[in-house]
Amino acid sequence: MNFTHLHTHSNFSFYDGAAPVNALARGARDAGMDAIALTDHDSLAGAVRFYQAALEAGVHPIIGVEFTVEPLRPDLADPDRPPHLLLLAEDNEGYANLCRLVTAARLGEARRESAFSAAYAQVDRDRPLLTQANLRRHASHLIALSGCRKRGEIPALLARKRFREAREVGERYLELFGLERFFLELHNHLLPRPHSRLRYRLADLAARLELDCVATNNVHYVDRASYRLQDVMVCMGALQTVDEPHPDRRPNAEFALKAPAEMAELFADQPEALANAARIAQRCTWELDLESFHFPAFDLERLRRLSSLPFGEAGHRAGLCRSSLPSSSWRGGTPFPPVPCVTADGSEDPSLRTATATTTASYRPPRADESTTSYLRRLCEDGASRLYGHLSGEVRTRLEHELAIIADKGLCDYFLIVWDIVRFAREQRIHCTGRGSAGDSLVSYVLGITHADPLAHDLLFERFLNPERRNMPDIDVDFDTRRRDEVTRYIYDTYGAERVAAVCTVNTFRARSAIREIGKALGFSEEEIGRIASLFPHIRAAGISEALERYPELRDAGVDLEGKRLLVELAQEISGFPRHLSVHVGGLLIGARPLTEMVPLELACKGIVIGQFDKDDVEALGLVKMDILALRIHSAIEDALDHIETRTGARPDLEALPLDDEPSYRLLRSTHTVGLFQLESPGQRNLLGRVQPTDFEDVIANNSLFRTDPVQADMIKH
Amino acid sequence: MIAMTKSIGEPIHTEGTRERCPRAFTWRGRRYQVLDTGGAWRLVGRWWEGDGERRFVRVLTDSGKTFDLCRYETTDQWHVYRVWD
Repeated sequence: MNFTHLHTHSNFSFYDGAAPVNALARGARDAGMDAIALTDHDSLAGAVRFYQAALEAGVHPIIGVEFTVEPLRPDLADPDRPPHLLLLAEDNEGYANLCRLVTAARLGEARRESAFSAAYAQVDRDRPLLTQANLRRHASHLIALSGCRKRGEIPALLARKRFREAREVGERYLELFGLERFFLELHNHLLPRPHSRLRYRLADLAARLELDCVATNNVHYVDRASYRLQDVMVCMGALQTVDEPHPDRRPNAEFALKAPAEMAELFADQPEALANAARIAQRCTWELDLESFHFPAFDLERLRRLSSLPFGEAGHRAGLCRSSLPSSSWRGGTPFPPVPCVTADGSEDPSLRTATATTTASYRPPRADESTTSYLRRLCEDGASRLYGHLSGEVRTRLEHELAIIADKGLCDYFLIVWDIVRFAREQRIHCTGRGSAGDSLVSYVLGITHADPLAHDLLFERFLNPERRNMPDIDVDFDTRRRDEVTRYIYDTYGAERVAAVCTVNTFRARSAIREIGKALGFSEEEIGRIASLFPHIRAAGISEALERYPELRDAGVDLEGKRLLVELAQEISGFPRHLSVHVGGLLIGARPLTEMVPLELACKGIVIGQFDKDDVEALGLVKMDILALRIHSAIEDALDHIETRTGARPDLEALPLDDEPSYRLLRSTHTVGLFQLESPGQRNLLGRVQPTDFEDVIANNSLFRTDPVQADMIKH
Repeated sequence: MIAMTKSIGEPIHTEGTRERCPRAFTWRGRRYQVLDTGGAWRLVGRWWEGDGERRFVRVLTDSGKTFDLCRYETTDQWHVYRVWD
């Protein structure tokens, strides 16, 4: 018996689905199915990890979304509970349409298109709603199923014996999708009459419209045992207790990932509906490209245009003629000489030099015939010449080695994008520093992205970018907290709002949040739940039992868990479940083409548009993520420089600070370092006292040692 | 015709019980032979208070009466849940 579940919710249907995507994929495999669909509510947030999990389990992944849609008969619909419509991607173009539709439903730009959507938005303006106009716009390459018993518009009308209206809705969807792409969805959840008769009414309507039916199970969990978790999640989402009724609560535990044989038994009298599920599954050929990178092209022409403008016209944002490269290395603190300002054709233009007292040309603009590869090389050679005086054998060899790997991996545009962002920041006098493994790269260094000389510190490039691995380089850059938004704005302006979005973070249930929310739903008082939850450290919910035995403060707190076994069990079951999406601390997604074709977008709080994919998903898809991080120490440094300048009339050049300043090391050895970035924690101060640094290498060692791994490995001995 | 029902909830002795439906049962001293079934359904009660799943089956008996029988997952005991007159 060949059967495929085409209506399946994971826990990315927040507060509704109780199945992790990998459990669904494994469950399908274990039940002998060769394919499975994921159809979360108004979301594709689980799509990438579902795809990966399905491939790992050896089952064919099918992607879809159960949309909340504007009703075709708004006069018979409840604005608080709009109908659902399930859409499956027939192919990759269908997937792109799903992304567009999720974005349209989530960003809500069409909310005021109809009286119904306006009324719906009044109930809660943040809830997603797919308007019929948007659906019509992107309905191609999609297969539509009529939705669940309670919320599908057709079944809901049939249940109310609105036969004529149900037929009218069916006809309109048939007109939109056609016979081959619209199916009436049948469920058999072993419900009492009259609910159990609904599938026969649906089959009857299908016969009248000459449509086909398809059997699904509206899966919300893998095993029946997860019924109670699913039920309590619905109560949590509805902010109510389990003692109260709610229309979204299911009456039994039949919404599991049933095996084909069980489904065959349930639909013994409608075998064609089962066969259609397999037939639809075979038609769905969605594939994610997890091999390629999708880098936006760096726009050399834009730089040429900007650099052909007089400095004033180039404008505040472009600011082409201020120093964008570090003026010294860590080695000797040698300020690099000002470079003549140049025009688009490479010739010197003295007028640019006089544009501002601090103006120095930071780079030569790209030539008309230059590619990004050759331009990156030229920028690197210019930067290396400034930093090292000349391209010695070692510098040249290392630079060639890195550039060859970068070019081979198709990363030239990526490096230019990062360089351009850092260039902008420097030109606007926004303090910034590259950090992390990018510091291992000479290219990053000579482009001014990082400040540490990888040759002087014997840093290995392959730690940053391994030619043997398909990994996206991760260049983190910290910016002055107060001015980080200017950098973000520059990126939006440069690449266009349709190609930029914040990366999301998937917030998950942890011990405290799980106890609080489940406890409330189970009817415990806020006071009691708050007291228990606050006793727990910030740990995974799965570790609650272990924590109760392990932590003395929990053991001795006299927590009465006798009547709370269920709470603990459910809290552990929900551990790691996604709770909501939020804005990543600094990650920005930059698309090679409009993001809505590749990434579903939604609106996070504060009105920030985020992609529904987190950083791991983005990396798997080969999309470009820039970490535009905010660092308060940059603000503090800026303030300090301002104060010094006000008092002395001179502004110190940070790049030129000597690294052998004995009073500084004396201060470090005294351990009076509160306020010193990365050297102020009690642990760091303790270590400083023992290391007694006398040169900069000691400071590096101090900082490197006080990391999680060395500390956990007990490498720091008294 | 309007069917009248009575909720009962009394345990019964069953014979030849398959998982889904007994072949016969004895209720209030009388034995009923199950001739046919008219649907099965399942409901979960107050699981947070320990209620398990209940499985229901509607049976037509040799007496001409229709019964809704119910089996509690936790006790595996069949009950007459409802009688249709």
